[in-house]
Amino acid sequence: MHHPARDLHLWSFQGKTRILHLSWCAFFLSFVVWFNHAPLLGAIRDTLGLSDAEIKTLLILNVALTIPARIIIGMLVDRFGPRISFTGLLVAGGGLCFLFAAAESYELLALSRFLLGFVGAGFVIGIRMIGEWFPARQVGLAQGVYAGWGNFGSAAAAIALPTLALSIGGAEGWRYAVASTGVITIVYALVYYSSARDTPEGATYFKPNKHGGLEVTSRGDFFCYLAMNAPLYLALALLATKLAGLGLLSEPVHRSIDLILLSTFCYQCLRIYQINARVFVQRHPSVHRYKFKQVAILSLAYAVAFGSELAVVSMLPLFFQDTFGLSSVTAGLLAAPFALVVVVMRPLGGYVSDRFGRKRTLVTVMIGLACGYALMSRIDAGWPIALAVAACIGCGVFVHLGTGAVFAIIPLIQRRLTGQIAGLAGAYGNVGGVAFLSVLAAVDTSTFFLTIAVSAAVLVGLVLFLDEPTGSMAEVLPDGTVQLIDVT
Amino acid sequence: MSTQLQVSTGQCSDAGRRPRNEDFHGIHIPSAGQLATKGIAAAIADGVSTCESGQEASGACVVGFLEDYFSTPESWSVQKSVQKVLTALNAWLYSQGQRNRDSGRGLLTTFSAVVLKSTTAHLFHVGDSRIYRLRDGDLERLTTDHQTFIGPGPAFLSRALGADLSVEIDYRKLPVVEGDLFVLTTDGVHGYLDDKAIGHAVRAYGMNLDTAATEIVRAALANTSPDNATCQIVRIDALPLQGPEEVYQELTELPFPPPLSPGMTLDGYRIIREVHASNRSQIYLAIDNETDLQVALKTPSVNYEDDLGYIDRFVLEQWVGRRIDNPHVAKVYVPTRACRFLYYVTEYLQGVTLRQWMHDRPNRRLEEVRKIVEQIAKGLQAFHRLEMLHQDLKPENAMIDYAGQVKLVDFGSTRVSGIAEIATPIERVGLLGTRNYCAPEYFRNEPGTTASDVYSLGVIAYELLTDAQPYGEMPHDGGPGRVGYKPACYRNPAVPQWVDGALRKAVHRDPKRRYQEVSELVHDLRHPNPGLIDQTPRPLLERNPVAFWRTTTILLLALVFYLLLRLAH
Repeated sequence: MHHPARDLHLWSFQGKTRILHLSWCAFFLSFVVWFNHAPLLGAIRDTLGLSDAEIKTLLILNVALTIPARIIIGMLVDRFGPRISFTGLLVAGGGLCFLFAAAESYELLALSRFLLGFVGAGFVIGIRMIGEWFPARQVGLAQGVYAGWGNFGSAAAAIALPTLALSIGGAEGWRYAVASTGVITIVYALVYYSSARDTPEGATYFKPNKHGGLEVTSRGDFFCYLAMNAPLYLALALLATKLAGLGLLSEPVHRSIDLILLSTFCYQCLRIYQINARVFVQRHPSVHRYKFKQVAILSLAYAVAFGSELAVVSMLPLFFQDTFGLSSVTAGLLAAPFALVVVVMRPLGGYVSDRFGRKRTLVTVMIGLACGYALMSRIDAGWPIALAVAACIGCGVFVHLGTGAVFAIIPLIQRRLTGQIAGLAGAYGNVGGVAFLSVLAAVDTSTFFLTIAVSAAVLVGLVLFLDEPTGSMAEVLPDGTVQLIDVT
Repeated sequence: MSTQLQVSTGQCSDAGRRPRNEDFHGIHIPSAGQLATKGIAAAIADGVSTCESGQEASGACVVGFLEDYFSTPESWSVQKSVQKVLTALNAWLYSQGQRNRDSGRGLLTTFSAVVLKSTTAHLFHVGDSRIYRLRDGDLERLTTDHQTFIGPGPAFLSRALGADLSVEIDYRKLPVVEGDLFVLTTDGVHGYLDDKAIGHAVRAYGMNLDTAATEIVRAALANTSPDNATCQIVRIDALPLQGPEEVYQELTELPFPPPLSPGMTLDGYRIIREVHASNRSQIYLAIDNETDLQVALKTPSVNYEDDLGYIDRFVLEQWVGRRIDNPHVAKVYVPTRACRFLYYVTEYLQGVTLRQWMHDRPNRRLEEVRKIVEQIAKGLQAFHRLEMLHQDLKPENAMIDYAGQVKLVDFGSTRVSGIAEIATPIERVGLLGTRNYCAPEYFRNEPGTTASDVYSLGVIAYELLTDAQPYGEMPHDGGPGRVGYKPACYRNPAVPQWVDGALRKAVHRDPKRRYQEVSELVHDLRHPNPGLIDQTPRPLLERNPVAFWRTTTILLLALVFYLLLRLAH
């Protein structure tokens, strides 16, 4: 039997595998740039004399812009194609690194970090690219490899950057480390531009994508979808309030931001209504009908899994540094494994969920997360470091199994809506990140981990309402004959 | 609710005060298959009575029309089918009439017909018979009488079938609703019964249309009609509107096959290996267990299992392939066993795609390229003759085998005029081509024509000769891109100017200024067409670059010396 992995020929550099390699490297670098602040927070805090609250606000700012950026980047990909979009993203991200590296004031630091948030939306571009090149049999695995190997960019940043900063020397070494990530990213952008192609030669590229909203198939689902859109804007409003509280935003600016968010939300609701008006008039054909609760549950699951990853990756090096009194280099090295396991765990999450049942996998993952984070909330200076790192790795395993499992289930809800459902889930992932980091800003670290654990526990209950997606209609007999499964 | 087109009919014809009945009429309601693709036809004809064989003429016309129309290809549109049939009938009538010229027995007849297909009525008319429509109690005349008044006397027929070698036939199409009635009459009826009376009679006898027709004829004759009187009534009882649910059920009836590996057997086809897999479909080499024939099995990608437009096109691809039998188009086999999954089987081609061939052979001679283009053109002509447009011609869709024979594969974007006329709840996407090969009119939301396929063929020919695109790479969103044509002879000096002229015309952005048929392009690629050679004098830079740069250098040198001299002082 042909296993998709066996004929993916991962070690060749031709055709679609070449595109896979080029793309996951691009995604990897975008993650490096996105989290190049995390392992250097100690040094940044010391050179600029920042307060704890200011540091934590930086962390939130980093993941905020990604939420709307996903939609905009989706539109850019439709207009310009994945190759140009990824190149532009990497060049812009690299450029912003220089801005961040040169910042002398907190305002500039915060602004550049906020703008760097859009680099996090690069995920979408690669997914589109891979979707064009790979046939259905391999695309799940290819996208898992892309996501997994790219995601560990944050771990690579945690490992390499403190050492780099130290070797360049001085308290200001972190600036050069950040700038160097910018340089590498821009150079790679040019490599990507010259080597990648949008589609295999001669493939069609004219599928008109409907933007502005997901298509729902019942009235209840319509209102559920409207309600699900609200947290995306609430998260940004929350951040704006925090910034105003810190004095970064003046009152009129704060008010106008709130106004912009409110009007965009209303516009979004209008678009959703326009796309889905027929739901009030006639029934969708049965082949198109699906339950929105599947989308809702998966989005919330992703919010907890990926959101916790974003939050923890942002604060873990500093946490180790402060709790155990380690140098930034050691802290970075010890914090890296949390994200490093993604390389294997994300593709594995898809495989496990296909093999052992999707609902079962997700429930197990959520239970694992709840236990893991509860354990992490108990970490204090008295703990042996090895145990703390082991707890982190354990959490990391479940986090990435979870993200892989969610993304493996998404295409099974409604194939033609996969892109948009993935977009909503991804946005929720970032909302989760913003939410958890806001909690971190409000309370101490132990409570922060406990909050994530409680969220995961709540989600165990929600995931129980997930319907197991229907399996294949065909089976293969021992002699090789393919036949329809008897549905009696 | 799924329904088929259902009609009720009533007919009556009477010779009246004439010795012979020179009117003829007929209706044909086919069985289910042709009902969807050809529809229902009703025809009425009035043989011109100044010639003795009026009955022969009208009879031949109606019978010939009804037989021949239903023998035309299913892929032809109604208009094309009827026009072909009527043109042939007219020519036959005329030639018969010419033969009898001396004895004065010309064969002339009027002709009016209604063809009901899907939810549209197509009307064809020549002469002074009439077609009316009764809707919501109002009778409306839909045809104009082709008559000329020379003096105060009776009118003369100005157009008829059989009168001349070419005839102009009035054509009109209208949407229909349930309850519409079409009334066809000859001048024996409508000359002596006004519209109101006809309408009244139809409404009065609405239930039994035969009685209504008889009543109308009787009333006309009672009103001193000296002519033959014929009346035909057709009422639409039900329109073939398949509800969305039905269409979707039909399309999703066959499940998608699972991913196939060597050794599996699907419906009696044993898989040998996967030949090609893209994100849209997979193609496998398989052996038919019964006949040991090597075939190619094409399966849809599960990425589209809920995309009804995709499934519709996949099924259409099979439909198209089965109807074309041409050495330059890959043959689609009709399955001998029951299909339990969605897939289809074509001939297995041992060769490479044209794209691969282009990679493998970097230096191509003009003659090689011509041979390939000619073969593709022959394949395209098979499509065009059946009133189908390929719409997605590109090097990846042409296979060239080791003997050098080219065959077209992959017709998933084909537009079949006869099918496009049938109303369907599925949203049909208009633009299905590939970026660089898609004719510009598609981006302007204009319908495609045979000239659009010519454009694609022109781009392929250009690329075969120069390895580049005539307008450069086109942008992703379908915008116009660059509008300047880069002559092929600049890129490849071996290309003669007249060939470049032919290519330039083939890829012209305005479809009206392109070749309208692929055969014209093929002809101009072989025979120099002086009209295409660019006679404008070329600038010195292109004619003799050495002289140009030499002169420029000398002038600049002189300028430098002069300036130096000025500086020295």
